[in-house]
Amino acid sequence: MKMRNNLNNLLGLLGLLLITAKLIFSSWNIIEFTFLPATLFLVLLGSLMVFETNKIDVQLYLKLTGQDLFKGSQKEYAHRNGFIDREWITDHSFPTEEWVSGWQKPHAAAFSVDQDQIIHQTEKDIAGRSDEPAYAEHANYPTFHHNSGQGTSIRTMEIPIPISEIPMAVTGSPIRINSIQNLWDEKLQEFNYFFNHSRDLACLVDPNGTLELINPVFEKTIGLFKYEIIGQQFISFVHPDDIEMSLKEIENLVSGAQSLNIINRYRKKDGTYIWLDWNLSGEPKTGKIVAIARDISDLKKAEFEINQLHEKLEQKVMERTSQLEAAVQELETFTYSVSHDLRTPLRAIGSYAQMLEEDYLQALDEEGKRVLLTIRKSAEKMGTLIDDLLSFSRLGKQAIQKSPVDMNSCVLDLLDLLQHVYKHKAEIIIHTMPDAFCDRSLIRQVILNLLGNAIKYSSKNDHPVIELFATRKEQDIVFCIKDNGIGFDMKYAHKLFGVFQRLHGEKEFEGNGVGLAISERIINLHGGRIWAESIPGEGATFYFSLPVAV
Amino acid sequence: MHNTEVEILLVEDSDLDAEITIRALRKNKISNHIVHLSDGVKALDFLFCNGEYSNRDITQKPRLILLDLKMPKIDGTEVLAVLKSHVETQSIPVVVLTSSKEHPDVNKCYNLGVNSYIVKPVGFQNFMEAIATSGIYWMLINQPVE
Repeated sequence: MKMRNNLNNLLGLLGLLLITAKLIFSSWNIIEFTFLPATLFLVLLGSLMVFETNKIDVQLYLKLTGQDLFKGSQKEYAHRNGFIDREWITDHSFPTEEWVSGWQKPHAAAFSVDQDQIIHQTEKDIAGRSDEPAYAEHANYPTFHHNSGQGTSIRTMEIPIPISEIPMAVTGSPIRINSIQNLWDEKLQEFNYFFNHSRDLACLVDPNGTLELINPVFEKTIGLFKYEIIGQQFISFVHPDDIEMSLKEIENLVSGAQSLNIINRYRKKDGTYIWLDWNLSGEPKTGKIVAIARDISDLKKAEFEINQLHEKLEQKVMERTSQLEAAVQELETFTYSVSHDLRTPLRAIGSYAQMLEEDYLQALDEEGKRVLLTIRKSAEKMGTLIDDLLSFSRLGKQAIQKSPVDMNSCVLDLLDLLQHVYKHKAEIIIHTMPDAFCDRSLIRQVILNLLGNAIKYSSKNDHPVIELFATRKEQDIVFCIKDNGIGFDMKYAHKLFGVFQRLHGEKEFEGNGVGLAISERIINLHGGRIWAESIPGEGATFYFSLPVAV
Repeated sequence: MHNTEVEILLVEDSDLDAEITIRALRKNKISNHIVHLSDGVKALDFLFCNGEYSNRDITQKPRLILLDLKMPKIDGTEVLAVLKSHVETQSIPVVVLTSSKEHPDVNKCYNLGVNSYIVKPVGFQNFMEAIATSGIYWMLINQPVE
């Protein structure tokens, strides 16, 4: 608005310099600029505009050619973003003598001044002016002078916008224009900095699929010079196996996708391939594609190695598993053999001894009968031992089946059996116990073992008393079986639960040292713990804990 | 003896076990005609009248087969599979006798259609009783197919 006043006041005093549009474009000394990825360019432009719209002596105009005027999309874009507030129409191809209709008229309309207030000046006129030293250096820039009076000139600078292919024009005082120019240069330098120093490959592909612009990393990665790459088909570097997939994806982009990612193999100068992870963005107006790629060859290599290791590991696991399975199988065969082959002769010993007893008892004297009985009993004991060992080893591979178990009735059921087996005189006191969550038959076996032990080891007491009770301890129920028998020395407590470990001689108390080992294994299978306390001569208390049902 | 009526066929590789078994049966008055064969091949030859038993009368079927599992050449489960898959023999009651409950073929035997599966008990008195009970059941109590 201030500008318009200036123009009115200084009517006819200064000339307007016009340089043809062709000159403008070819002299815009940033060829690469036109190749900049469009998105970055717009950011750059946008920031400049924000900066400039606050200055009152500079207005921004969108210059449209007559042909494009009413197509509107670029205009809308510029308006929407506040880049312009006025516009004028021109045509680059008009003859110089028609400049009045080509330049003067639209300029005058845009600035609301009379046509003859805008004066045409030549490039030479600008270069020679002492008050505009900067223009001498920038004589090749697109420059239009407005006669704005009081020794102040207004200059118009055209900025090509590659993405819209319609130049943006900036009009203002020479000083402002100059500072805008510097700002542009700065922004361009920034852009170039990012573009040239990017560690990712960047390129611009034209609608025909030809590489138009590449950054230095692109050159370096592929191993070819820029001139060897520019003009080549983007797809010509793609690995034959990846071409179909890549083209298909690019087609999606052309048919409307905003951006997409593809991973393909790209050929280097030496004929080897690298893995590139591309981000492709399409520009629907120009049909160009901005492609940014990261070299993920190392990643792919690592991935490949991981896969290989994984496969090897799988194979190893399979080998080991089959070895383990074979070992388990062998163990089972062994177990079977033990139980079958050891028992067959044993059964013969026992049975034949019995036959002897049945058929020839009269022929034997007392010593003969004693020897025969010993043979039978020993054979029977060995049979029990084999059975116990087998059930102990079987526990290792057995899956337990837990359910709520009424421990009181479980114990009561056992009392008859115990009386039958041991013919004991012990008083057994059962305090009410909570239900347990366990495998009934296995826990029954544990209680049978522990009660049997209690009866056995208290049998020499005149008044054997056995107590069963349970306490809740945090997440466990602890069951206790207390007797007033001979007890054991606590320094041997660690040997209690070992297989074939006994703390008392066979003569004192019968037993084969497997019962507690089995009990411990059962309790461990339940996630519980078994232990014992004792004072020799005063009795022993055995404890086992079972986790409360979750 | 090939043409004599056979009531119990005992297939058992252990002579000692066979003697105990036969003794147990006899002690319990099951003194029917008992044939003892020592392996599966002989058992099948006997039942189907092949090989050394080719002159035997095939219609003379045993009323009970006591079959040991662990035998050389053809073992008990194989014999059982053949017996239960042939119409002529599938109705003969078969009692499997084995030394061990660890035997992996318990389930297999039942799937093949064994009539009874007995683990030779550890106690020798018990063994005698088991054989006797089984013998009494199959020979005297059980009603065979007509």
